[in-house]
Amino acid sequence: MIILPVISTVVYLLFNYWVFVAIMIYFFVVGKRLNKDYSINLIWFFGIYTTFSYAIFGYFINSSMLHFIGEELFDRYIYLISMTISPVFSVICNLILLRLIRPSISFLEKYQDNWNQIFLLIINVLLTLCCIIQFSNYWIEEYILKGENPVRKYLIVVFILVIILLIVYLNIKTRQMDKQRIQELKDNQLADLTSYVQQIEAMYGELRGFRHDYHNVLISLNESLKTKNLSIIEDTYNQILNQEGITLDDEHYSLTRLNNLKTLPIKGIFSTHIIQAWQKNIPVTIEIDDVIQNEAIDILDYVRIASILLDNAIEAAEKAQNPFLTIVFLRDDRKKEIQLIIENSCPDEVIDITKIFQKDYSTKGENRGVGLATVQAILQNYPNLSLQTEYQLGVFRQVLMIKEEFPQ
Amino acid sequence: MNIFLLEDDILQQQRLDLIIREILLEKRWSAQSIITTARPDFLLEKVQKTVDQNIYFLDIELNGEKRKGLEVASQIRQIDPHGVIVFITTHSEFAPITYAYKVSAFDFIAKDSPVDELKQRLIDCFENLFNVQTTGKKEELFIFNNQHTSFQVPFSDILYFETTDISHKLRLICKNRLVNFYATLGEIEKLDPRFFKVHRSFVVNLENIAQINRAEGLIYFDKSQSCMISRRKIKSALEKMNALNQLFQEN
Repeated sequence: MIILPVISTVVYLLFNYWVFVAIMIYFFVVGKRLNKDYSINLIWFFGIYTTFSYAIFGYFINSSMLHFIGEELFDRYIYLISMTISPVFSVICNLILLRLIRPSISFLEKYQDNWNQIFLLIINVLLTLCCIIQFSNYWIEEYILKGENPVRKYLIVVFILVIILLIVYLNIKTRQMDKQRIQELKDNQLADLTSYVQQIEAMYGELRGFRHDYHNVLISLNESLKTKNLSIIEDTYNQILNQEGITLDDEHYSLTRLNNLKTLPIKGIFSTHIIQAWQKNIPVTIEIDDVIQNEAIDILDYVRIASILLDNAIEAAEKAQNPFLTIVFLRDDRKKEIQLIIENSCPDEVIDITKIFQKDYSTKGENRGVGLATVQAILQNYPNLSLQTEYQLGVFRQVLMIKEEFPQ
Repeated sequence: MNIFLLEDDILQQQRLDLIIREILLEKRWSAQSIITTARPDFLLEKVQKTVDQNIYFLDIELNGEKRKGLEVASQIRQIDPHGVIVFITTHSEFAPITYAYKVSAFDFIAKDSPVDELKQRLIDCFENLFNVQTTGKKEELFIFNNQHTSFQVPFSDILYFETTDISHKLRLICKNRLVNFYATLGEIEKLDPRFFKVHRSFVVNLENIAQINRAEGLIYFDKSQSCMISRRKIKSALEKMNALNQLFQEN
C-alpha cells in the first residue's frame, strides 16, 4: 500500500495527468490480485480514493505555491516543486488522513460480508465523478481555454471539502455499523442463553417429577418388604422396573455437560445448536471433561467460527443415513492448548476436502460455501489457531486447536 | 498376558473378575496374572514390575475421587505406553474421544450393560490386545511442534504442504485430512529428508509421489491430488526419489 503511491507519483511526474486513469486501472488490477476475497467496491474505493486524494493535494500545494511565490519564481522551479514539495506534501496529508480513517478501513476489510455494499457504492460514484471533473479540467485548460481556468481555484476547495466530509461520513457510518453488529451479537447471545436456561429449567422440572415418582416407588417397596414375602417383593420390584417414567430421558441431560464450558457466549451458542440438532432428531454426544475457559481468541470471532462449524455439522448430519453429532472440548495442559472437536456423519458423497475452503465451493449447492471461507479468513488473523479437517468413511471432523498465546 | 482390574465396589469387582475368568476358560487364553484390587497405588506398584502384554480395566470414580481413574491411567501410560486401557464405568462418565486423546484409552464399557454384551465387549478388548502385539510396530507419526501449534498425523498420509494467501499460514494436505497452521515452508523442509521444496509455495512428501508430469509441470499423488513443481526442481526431485528408493531397498 505504501509502494503504490510512490510509483504513482513517479509515473505522474514522467507522464501527465492522463496517466491517472492508467494508475486507477492498475490499482484495480493489482488490488484484485493481491486481495482476492475483497469485494469489487472495496478495491474500487481504495483505487479511486488514493488517486483522487493524491491529485487533489498535489494540485492544492502547487496552486498555493504559485499564489505565494509568484508566477516567475514558480515557473523557474516548476520541476523542483512538482518533484519534491508537492508529492511530499500530498504523502504527508494522506498519512494524516489515513491515520484518521484507519479504524473504518480495517472495519470494512474485516467484516466485508456484514455491511451493505450500497453506501460504499455511492461514495465510489461520488469520488469517481469528482475525479472525472478534476481530470477533464486539465484537459479543458490545455486544449480549450489555453490558460488558467477561473473556476479551478474554487473547485479545488470544494474537492478538499468533499474529501473531508467523506472521511467524517465514513467514520460515523462504520462506527454505527460496528455498534449495530455488536448489538446484534449481544442480542443473539442473550437469546441463546435464555433458551439454555429454559432447557435447564425444563430438566429441573422433570427431575422433580422423577424425585416424586421415586419416592412413591420406595414407599410401595417398603410396603411389600413388610409382608416379608419374597415373591411379593419380587413382583413389586419387577413392576417398578417395567414402570415408565421412572427412568430419566437420558439424552437431554447431556446438556448439563456444558457445565464445564465457562465462556458464556460459547455455552450459549453450543446449547442452542445442540437443542436445534435434537429437534432435527440428530443424537448429540457431548464430552467436556475439563474446565474450558480463557481461550486466546477474540470472543466475537470465536462465536462466529463455532456457529459456522456447528451449522455445517448439523446440516450435513441431518441428511446422513445414520445421523450423529459429537462435540468434544479438551484441554491439554502439557501443550497449553484447547481443542474443540466437532464430528458429524455425512450423506454418501465424495467430498474433496482440498476445495471446501474455497469461497464458492459448497457441498450444499450454489452460493453457500461462504461459511468455511469465512472461518479461513478469521483464522488468518491468529497465529495461535490451527484447524484440522478430516473426512473418512462418512465421518466429517473439524478440530480447532487454540494454543495459549505466548508473550510476544 | 497380565490382567489388571481396578474397581472399588466389591460386588462389581467380583462380578467382573468372574466374567473375565469365564472368557479366559472359554477361549482357552492363558493369563500370567490377574490382579484385582480397589487400591490404585497397589495396582501401580504391580504394573511397575510387569510390563508385558498388559490389559487394564479401570473404574473412573474411585473411593469418592471423581477422576482418579484417569489419573491412574496416565500414570500407567508413563510405565507402559502400549498396554490396552479400558474404562468400565457408568454411562454418565463416558468420554471416549477425550480419554482416547489423553491416555489412548481403547474403549468404554458400561457397568450396567447386560452380561452378554459386557462379555462381548471384553472379548473385543482382549482381541485388540493380541492384534496390537502381532502387527508389531505402530505406524510412523509426523509430529509437528512450534510455538504456535502442535499436531500429529501419520507420516504415510502426508501428500504436500502449501502456502496460503497470508504469509506464514500453511496448509498441509493429507490423504483424508487438511491442517491449517502457522509456520514457514523452510521450517517444514528441514524436518525430514523425505520433504522437498519443489516450488516457491509447495513442499512435498517424496514418498507419496505417484508421478511427475514434465509437460504440465505437475506432481501427481493420486488421481485427484496434484501440486505444481518448478521446472528446475524436476531433476533434483527425481534424484532424491531414487536415492530414497535405494535406501528403502537396502533396508
